[in-house]
Amino acid sequence: MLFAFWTLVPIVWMILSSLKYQTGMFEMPPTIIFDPNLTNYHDVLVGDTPVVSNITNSVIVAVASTAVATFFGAIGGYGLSRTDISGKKHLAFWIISTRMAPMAVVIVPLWFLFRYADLLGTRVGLVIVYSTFNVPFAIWLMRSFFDEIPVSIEEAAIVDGATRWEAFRYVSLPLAAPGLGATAIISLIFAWNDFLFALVFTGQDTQTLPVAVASMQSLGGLGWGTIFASGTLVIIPVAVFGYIVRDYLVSGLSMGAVKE
Amino acid sequence: MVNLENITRLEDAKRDHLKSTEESFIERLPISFEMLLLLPSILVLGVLSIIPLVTLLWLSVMEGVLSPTDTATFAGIQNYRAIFTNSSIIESWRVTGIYLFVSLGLQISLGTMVAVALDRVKYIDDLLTSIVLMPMLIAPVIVGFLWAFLLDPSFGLYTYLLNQLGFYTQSPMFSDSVGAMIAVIVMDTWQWTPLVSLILLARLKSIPQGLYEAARVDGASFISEFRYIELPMLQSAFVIALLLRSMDLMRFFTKIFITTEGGPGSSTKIIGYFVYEQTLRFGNLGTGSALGVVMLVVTILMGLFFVEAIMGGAGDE
Repeated sequence: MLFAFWTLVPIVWMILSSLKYQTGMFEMPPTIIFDPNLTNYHDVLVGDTPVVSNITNSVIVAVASTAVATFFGAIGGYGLSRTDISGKKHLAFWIISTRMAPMAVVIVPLWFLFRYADLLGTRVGLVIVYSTFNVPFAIWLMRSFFDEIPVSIEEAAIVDGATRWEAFRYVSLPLAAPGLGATAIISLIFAWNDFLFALVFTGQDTQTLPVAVASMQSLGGLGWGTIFASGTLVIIPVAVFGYIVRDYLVSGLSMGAVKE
Repeated sequence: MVNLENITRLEDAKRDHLKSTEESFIERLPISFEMLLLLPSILVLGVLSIIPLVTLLWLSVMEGVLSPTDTATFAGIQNYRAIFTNSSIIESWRVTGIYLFVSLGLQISLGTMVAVALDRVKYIDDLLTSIVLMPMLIAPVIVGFLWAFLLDPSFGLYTYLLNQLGFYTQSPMFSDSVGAMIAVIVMDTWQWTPLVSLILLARLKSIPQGLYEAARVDGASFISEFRYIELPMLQSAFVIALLLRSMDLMRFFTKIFITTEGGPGSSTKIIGYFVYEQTLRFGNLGTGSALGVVMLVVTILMGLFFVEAIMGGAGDE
């Protein structure tokens, strides 16, 4: 109970603050009861510091990288689950190690390469960057879902005349559909929430929402209202999606190490 | 009746035909069906991981790659030698060590308490779980701002509360080297203790109720139940949570970027941030890349243990 409180207070405080006027935000002692208004939201959506184009960028990049990740997750995860080649464990480890690499390690060479490939500041570049962690994540997670589907179901389908492809496409894939949905949503959250990669790899026109939020900091103390309003905008879709996949979230965030 | 049989026969024939063409196509390939599906992913990941890795290795043995004259020269192991001699790098490892150690300790102990509590709550536990997992979903950049605001010396809610309790001086938390470290650790603990709890909780749920009943019949107290039933059962979950959190603590530094930028001085400059600063801010690609390689080795070692822990099956399913 106490812990739930500790968890909730900052979030609630942020949302409350986003509804206050500048002057009300900094009042000491802090006020809990006040006259809520939407000035800050007005500012970030249509006013002085619009973030609409940033939202568009975020959505495009997040959706594109999720599509890529989910596709490879579906086929690669299945392949990895069913294959019995020697060294499967090494292969599995190599795949997940690309997901675990520290961000700094990934950023430096990619930034260097993108400089020459003219991909810096483009959405395509950012989608590629996100794929470096979302694709291995999706493969790894989908593998754990396919592992749970007994091979005997596919064998039964094959005995009934299905090809291997049909057994995969019409038997196993539908059975893994909830897992596929969860994988897609968690990939989406990763991409949507990312800040550092976006900071390094986007330019003026391709800034994603988190980068835009961070740049409001330079406005000094006056930026807090807009920071929290747009911060709330960052959180809302994630909260909705997160609620949908809550049963898979722990499994996903622990990379399939935990099954519920 | 006859009609129906005809249709069935027709469909059988059609399917047989399809099947034979498709199967013979797949059979003619030198690899199995599973590998056929896996191969595109391997290729994509190969491009996405091996090319950057080779680039990183190349950068780590070069000097002056981004210099104005654009003359890169081979530096050999010079960049690597700097890792062990440069005092600011050694300082950064020390800071990383403290950050890792204290964060992990806090998150594991707090996480265990919350998990045990959630396991015993029999009502509204769904609601509580939903609340508890919220911080994990919030973008780190927002978490950074949120805590910077809460801990602000002049208008922060938590500063105010601490002041009311008589704990705190007016000095801004983030400009004091110990305070900044505490703040950075608190932020990460707030965000990621839930994951530790939920990993442990999943394990706790799998403990058969009978064990507790048997213990209670034997007159076990709450504490001895925890000590002799839950703690031993949690061991493998602890390993997983620990490794996962260590790797992520090495991996991310967004919250530090937003709040302290490694400061004051270098008191919160963990190794990930150090690499970022050296390379992209100061253009010192050589040293940064060499350090990156070392970081990579460290994380891969942790990763090996992690995979061993979940695939090797140390008491797990």
